[in-house]
Amino acid sequence: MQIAVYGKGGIGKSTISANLSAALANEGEKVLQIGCDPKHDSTRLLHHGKKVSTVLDYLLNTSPDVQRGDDVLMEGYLGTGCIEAGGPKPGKGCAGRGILTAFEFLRDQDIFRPYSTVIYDVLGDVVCGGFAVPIRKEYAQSIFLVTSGEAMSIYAANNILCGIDNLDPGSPRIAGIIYNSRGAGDDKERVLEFAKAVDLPLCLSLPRSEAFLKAERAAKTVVENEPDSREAQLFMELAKRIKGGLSLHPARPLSEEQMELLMQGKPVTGTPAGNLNRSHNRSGGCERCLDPGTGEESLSGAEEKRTGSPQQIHSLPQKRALSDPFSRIPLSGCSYRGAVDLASHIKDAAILGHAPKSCTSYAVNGITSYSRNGLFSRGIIYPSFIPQHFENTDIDISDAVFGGVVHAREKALKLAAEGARSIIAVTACIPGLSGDDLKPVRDELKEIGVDMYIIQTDGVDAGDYNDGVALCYKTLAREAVKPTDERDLDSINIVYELNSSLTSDDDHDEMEALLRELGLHVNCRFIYDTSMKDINGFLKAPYSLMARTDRLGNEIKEIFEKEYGCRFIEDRFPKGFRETSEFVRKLGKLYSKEAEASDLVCKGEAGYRAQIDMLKQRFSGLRTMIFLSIQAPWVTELAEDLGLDVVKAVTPEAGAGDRIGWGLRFSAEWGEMRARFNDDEKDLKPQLILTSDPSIVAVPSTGAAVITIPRSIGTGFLSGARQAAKWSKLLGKDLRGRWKNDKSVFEKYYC
Amino acid sequence: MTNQYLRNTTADYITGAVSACEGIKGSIVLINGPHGCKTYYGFGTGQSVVNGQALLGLGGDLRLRNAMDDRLIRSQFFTGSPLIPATNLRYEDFIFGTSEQLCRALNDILAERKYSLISVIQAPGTSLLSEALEAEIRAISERSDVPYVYIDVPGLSEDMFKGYDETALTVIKRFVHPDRRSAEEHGDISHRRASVNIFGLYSRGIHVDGDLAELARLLGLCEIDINCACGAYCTLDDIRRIPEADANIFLAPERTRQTKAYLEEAFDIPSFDLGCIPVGPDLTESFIRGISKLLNTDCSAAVRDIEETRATVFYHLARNLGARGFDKAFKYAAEGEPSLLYALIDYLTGYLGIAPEAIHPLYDQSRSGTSRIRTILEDIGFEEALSADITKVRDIVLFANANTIAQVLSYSGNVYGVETAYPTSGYINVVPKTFIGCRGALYILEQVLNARRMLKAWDR
Repeated sequence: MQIAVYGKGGIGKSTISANLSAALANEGEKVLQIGCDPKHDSTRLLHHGKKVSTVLDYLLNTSPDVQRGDDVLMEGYLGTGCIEAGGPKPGKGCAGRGILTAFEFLRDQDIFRPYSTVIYDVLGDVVCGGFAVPIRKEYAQSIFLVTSGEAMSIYAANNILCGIDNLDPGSPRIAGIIYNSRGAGDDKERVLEFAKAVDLPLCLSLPRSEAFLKAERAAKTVVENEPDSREAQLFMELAKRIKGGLSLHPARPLSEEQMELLMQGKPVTGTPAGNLNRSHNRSGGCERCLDPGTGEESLSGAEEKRTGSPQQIHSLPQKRALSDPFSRIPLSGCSYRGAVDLASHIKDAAILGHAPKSCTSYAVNGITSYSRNGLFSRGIIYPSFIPQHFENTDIDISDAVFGGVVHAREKALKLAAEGARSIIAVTACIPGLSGDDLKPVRDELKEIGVDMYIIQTDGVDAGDYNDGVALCYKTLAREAVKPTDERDLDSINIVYELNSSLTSDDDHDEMEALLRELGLHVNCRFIYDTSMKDINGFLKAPYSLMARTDRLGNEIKEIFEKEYGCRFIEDRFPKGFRETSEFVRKLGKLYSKEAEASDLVCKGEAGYRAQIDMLKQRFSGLRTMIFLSIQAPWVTELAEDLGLDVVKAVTPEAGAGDRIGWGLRFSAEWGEMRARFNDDEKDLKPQLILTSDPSIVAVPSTGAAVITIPRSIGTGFLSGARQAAKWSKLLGKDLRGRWKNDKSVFEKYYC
Repeated sequence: MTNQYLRNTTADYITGAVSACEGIKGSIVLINGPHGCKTYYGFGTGQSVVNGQALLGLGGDLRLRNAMDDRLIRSQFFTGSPLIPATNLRYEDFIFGTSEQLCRALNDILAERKYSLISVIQAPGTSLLSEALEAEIRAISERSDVPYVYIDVPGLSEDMFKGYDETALTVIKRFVHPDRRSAEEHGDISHRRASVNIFGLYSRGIHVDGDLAELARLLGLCEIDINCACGAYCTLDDIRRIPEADANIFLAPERTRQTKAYLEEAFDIPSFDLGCIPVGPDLTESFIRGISKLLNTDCSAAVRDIEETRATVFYHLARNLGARGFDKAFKYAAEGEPSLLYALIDYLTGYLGIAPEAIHPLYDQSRSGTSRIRTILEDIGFEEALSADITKVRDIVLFANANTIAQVLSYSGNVYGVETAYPTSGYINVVPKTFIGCRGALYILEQVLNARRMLKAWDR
């Protein structure tokens, strides 16, 4: 059983929540109370004023790898669980977002499991998507509205009904009204009129009483402090009714005009403000509810959330506490852009960007940059990088405030009307902050035969560019691959090609040529210049090949292996002669084409040896320094085969987690390494410098040829040798350039 | 889908805001947002901007005298590129607030080098938080003695030139003292050369250097100096001196609408607005004669220069095309801001006699520029060009940004693209070019003559 207590600020929600928790505990329920107010005083009366560690403070100061749900859980009266969500300092940040984060943490930590009843004490009004979380995310099935007879309190209660009606129109979610008298002059009649007008029962009527003040001074609930008092008994009666099962009612908020009539003591007439179909059967009063099964349902609901699809779970930064300044590893790019980049490779799917124009200009121009640069630098049009089916919701500040799902729905239906049968919806920061949920749109599209895949990057929420790519990969791997009995035995899937590179096409062509020589063909490219049809039919191929390997590649592979039983060839696209030879032999064995593979390797070896013999005369004995910050075993293979005299080889150790990322390029350790490399270059006087970082030797002290090792060299037997042939043309040439001597002139005129 | 494609690829409000701020010499623009935003505003279009900051990260033996500290360049705010740092926000900052990280960034950045101006622009996500950040920015600005501009709520789904115009106006309001000079001082220009302010050039214009050079040359021939070329790497002092000019020239209404309205109301300085960019000899002559008349200067040298341009155009047309001029089948298509499109139509069709196939206005939220284009097209009998799909044109010279050129080329190989705006294909302009004035007229002529030859060659 999960119950939320909503009401105007200062109306007594926390006192009522705590007393209700205590009363339910007396009834033998295992109760958890969660305070959702940044000032974190909801559970004080249950735990008797202990020092509180809020969930958000905890997340801020504790490294994720040591975070445990128990650390934010305090034990109170009769074993009640007490948790305070906490929040930012007043005037800073977004408290609603904080509530969302806290709830996701609690869910991930499985904190709800031991409890039969959860009570949410929710701040004031439904002020934003964050505070609507207990309702919106269906944490709480039952809602109590707390109000006094004061006008503002009743207005707030009506506003909460509007919020519930907007979030979950027509659903019976409200248990009833709790009237908390503010003392003499408080207008109970007005509350009764309001309850009648909104068709809700008055479940509890609390008098103004000294008992509450006395209990508060003792940091206890009335239920604990004076269990025999009339006030405590009222809570006990309500607890019994709750335990017996609550009858729930839909929200029927009043319009502004109706509220005005109510406040003036006139009969309430006219059209209500809400969405509800008025033909809905009127439910009985609070005391008439009977169904005892609610608790089980709510727990299974929570369980569903815990095991939900991964795109719903926002990852927090790994290994460091949020407040740790050293955790400020820059997010490289944005996840919205990453997801959109990858999705644009699916030619028969439309992309729906749920984002402001700013984010989409950025994302689309990011994609087209490959096309523009390709057109200019290679004279080639790359249609893969001209997204044709990309609608954007162009949301603005008002949508950010009031929600923009309506625009997403409108654009999605437009795409469907234009013939799109697959839509990939990607959300940016703003919908993430305002809590837009596209699942109802997805369900609506499903009914008209259109598949919508929601990539809920929520911009920075999901992390950086690579995280957006990851989310898109994983979502489509889980949701778009369809079961099939059809098999294409001479086919292979290619997985995880580099989606943001012009060389991927060349690499793929070379791989396809190699496969063709063995009588094989590609079934699905997951996900590069592909189609949803191919992705749906992924399982037709007996084997899959990773184009490259890294942590994400392994995770994608694991999804295919675990969820579909796919078999992978333990390789990335081979580079250089030896890797390619091994790869071809392995393929031959798997596809029972050993003879063809053997012939192919012989042919490849002959070509490679001929190339190396030709180049060896130029390279043999050359004093060489190597700086490698990328994985390139083909370089050492070449160094050996060409007979280079390697006098120094440096592979930086910094950033082991990301060998080519920022940690390598920007860490202090790298700085020292660079300085050493320059000094060594002066001492060792190499004739050849092979480096993956061209800036490492800006001006070589000798006339050494400085060769930049590219990240991509293609694939196949000759891929390495082709590079060596290029190097040979640069040997013995002094290309330092006298322009570098004109630095002082530049500074004279420009600086 | 076509219109959505073109809209998706045009620059946004924040790009305009960034441009208005970075177009001030020695300034730095800080995006208060995650690095995704920096990636776009710093690298996405800024890499082609002629900007001294781009060199501040030069390392090794070529490191410059006024380079930034390596530590800062490599820091979380710059991550290797000195252009448009960001505060490197993370998910948690959207909960707890961004001020701590913003202050950290400002302190680090301002401790390292002296800037003329620091502009803080909110990213889409942070603009939604509505935090009270200005007091903290102001305190750091005062402590470091570097003036600041803070753009709190940029238009998330508005277009670039609205962002440019509104931000330029914010800068002007902030730094230009509203007190006008005395009427005598203002009106008497007999003892000195007249001077003008130019509004409408922007740092992310494809040929901003060449545009400014040509305007300065032509105005110089009329004995008019440029007092402040707002947005084209003028200094903050130039902006402060805006009231000292004798006239304000507005080059493009869609870029300067609000700025113009404010300046006209706040200062007693006459405005000169041609309603479009001066492209081609006719519009250039109207421009020159108009501003000279306003300031009572001698424009005869400039008119002679334009006359020489007319002669040069005539020579090349007669030599290459004979008396017939351009073939009737030779057509062009153009997209862009209305002020550029209007001028291109006037020159390409009105002067050179080339037929327009498709005209696609961008950045015209008020639709007034489009109305003007419709009128000129109706006058010359080509109103259908306004409804033609620019991405489906064939056998044509296409004036557009590289996105549209690439899109058209994906359908048809027989297109000669002339890039008129960002984003570009990456062509690096070493020699300054322009579409404006006499030099612009000759550059466009060179492009269309070569386009005609190339398209004919492909046709065979």
